Amino acid sequence: MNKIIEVKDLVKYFEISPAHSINKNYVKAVDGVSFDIFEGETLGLVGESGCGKSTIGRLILGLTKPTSGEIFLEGRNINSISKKELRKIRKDIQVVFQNPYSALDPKMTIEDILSEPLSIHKIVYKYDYSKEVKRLLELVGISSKDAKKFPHEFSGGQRQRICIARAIATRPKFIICDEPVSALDVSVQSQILNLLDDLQKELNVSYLFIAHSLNVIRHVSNRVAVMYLGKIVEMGTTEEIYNNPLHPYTKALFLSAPVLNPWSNKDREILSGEIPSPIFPPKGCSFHPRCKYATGICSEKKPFLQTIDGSHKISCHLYDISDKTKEVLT
Amino acid sequence: MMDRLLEVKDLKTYFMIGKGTIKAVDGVTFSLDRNETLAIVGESGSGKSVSALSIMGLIKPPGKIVSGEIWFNGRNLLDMPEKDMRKIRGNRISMVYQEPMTSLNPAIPVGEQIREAIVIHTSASKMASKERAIQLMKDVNIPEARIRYKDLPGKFSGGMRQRIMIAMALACYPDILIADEPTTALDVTIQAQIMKLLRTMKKGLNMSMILITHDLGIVAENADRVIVMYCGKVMEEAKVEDLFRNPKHPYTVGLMKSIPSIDTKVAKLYSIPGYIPHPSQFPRRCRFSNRCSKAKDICSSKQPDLIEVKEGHKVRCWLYM
Repeated sequence: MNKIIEVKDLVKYFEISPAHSINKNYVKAVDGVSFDIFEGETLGLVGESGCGKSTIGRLILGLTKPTSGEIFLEGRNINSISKKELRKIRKDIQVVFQNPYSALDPKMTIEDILSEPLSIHKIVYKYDYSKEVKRLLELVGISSKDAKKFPHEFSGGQRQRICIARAIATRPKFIICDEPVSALDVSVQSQILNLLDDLQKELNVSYLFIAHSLNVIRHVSNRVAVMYLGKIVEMGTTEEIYNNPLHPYTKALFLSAPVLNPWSNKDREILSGEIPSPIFPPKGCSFHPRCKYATGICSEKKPFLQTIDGSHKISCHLYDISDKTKEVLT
Repeated sequence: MMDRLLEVKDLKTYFMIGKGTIKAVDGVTFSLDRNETLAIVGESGSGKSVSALSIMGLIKPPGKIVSGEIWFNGRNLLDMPEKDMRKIRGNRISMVYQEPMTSLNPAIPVGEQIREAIVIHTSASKMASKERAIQLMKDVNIPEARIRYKDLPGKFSGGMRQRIMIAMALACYPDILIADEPTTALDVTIQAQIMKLLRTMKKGLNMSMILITHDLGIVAENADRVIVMYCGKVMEEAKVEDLFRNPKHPYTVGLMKSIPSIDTKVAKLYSIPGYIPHPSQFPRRCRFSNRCSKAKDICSSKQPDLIEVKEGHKVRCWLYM
């Protein structure tokens, strides 16, 4: 399979200290993240607010510059190429945002909204715009008769379909879906998930699917990465993560999700504490203050992502085989 | 028969906007027993929040309670003068809102905001009410409550602010707590903590709770009884076990089927066709008829009634007539 996106040791710190101050503080939004996304595949990125999942999306889109690290699109480093080149490859990376109410210009008709990417990236000839707009609308399940309407004439679910049509207009290889269904009602959510799935099969596009809801991630993803405070703590195929979660945070996350079952055990153990500040993350493993398995080493040494089994990777000292053996040896 | 605490009868709350009338709540009837948790589930525009605001007497123009009765402690809240209603609101019936970020006054220390609720409804002295407020902050598990009493809301995280909101709502040991999407703005791990806190507080204070949510998972874990609302009407009412074991209304069934499962993966998700109609364009007859896979001729010509099909299980659908 072709590697579409490769992210290597990506770091993004936001400076938050007041101007001219000597002691600089940084929000460590993304702190050393690496992953690959292959052709036609969906990587699910799951985590709670402030874990850096949306920042990763913005970094890949080139909306913010990384502090360090590299992003490759089909082998080309998008941070070191010229602006002109970057403009060209932008059409290969598209995005669908969370809020379809603010993602569409209220003063433009749907036809204008969808023609814009066509003209910027010269996808089709000008006299074919309206034909192409019709094709795109039909692809996402909106009547082509509605092309002259304005965004406010559509419901939230329909607007999200239009956002998706705009994203696929440039025939991208890769789409970042940043919480595309979390603003939608349940009965509309499943329509959009099915649409994204159909389009992936039809257009062979890869997705980075960013979401906080575990059941949605399970449904859409081939592989899943779980993030906590700017780092990937566990990564693997969807089956590996959901059938056999290993990291204490992943386990706790699964236990916190409400179950659709009134007979389930309501008083199961839940994770205490809150997400620490990303400005001063805890020393060592950033999860250790909330982790019930934490030992001495967890507050001193940062764990790193290591392969456990097959493609299952985890960043936790509990699974530090090398360190345990070291302890035994000394 | 359990002790009936609140009874809402044929409540109609309309919003007069421009030329049209939006029937946000259109003939809703339900009751709440003592120590019970009643969940109101529905999607946006179903009228679940407007029902709650109607009980609280917080409907403002252009909204208007057109008809109906809300019985609490032998009195109809809708006939009550505002002066009396103030003694009930925040005292006997209180509410927790969805947005912990905007529901607190950013310029007043959180402790003082909790104390305000106590001062308004009791004759406690300044010292006593402050101690009560600190105790309440401890009850909702805010660490170092005495020190944090003086902090402004901006110094608290979303989960902590929601705890403050809960402390404020519980300040007078209410009979009924209305929680309107109390965890929607929060992360899953924090959501689990807040729901657990609500369950413990409800037990400890012998309260009844109306839990408004769109999340069926939260319903399954917290409710005793459920009403499912769609476009201003109650579509189904049942005990939580009955609803999950045997959902009857095509809307409830569709809703449950369209939620992706966390345990298994299906090739294609079920989805209810169409969209939730705009409140000014609700279908004239059965409001779900234009999206229903089992719709018959009668569904688009006559409004079905809410019929009891089994003890405690009511459905508004022509399939069960």
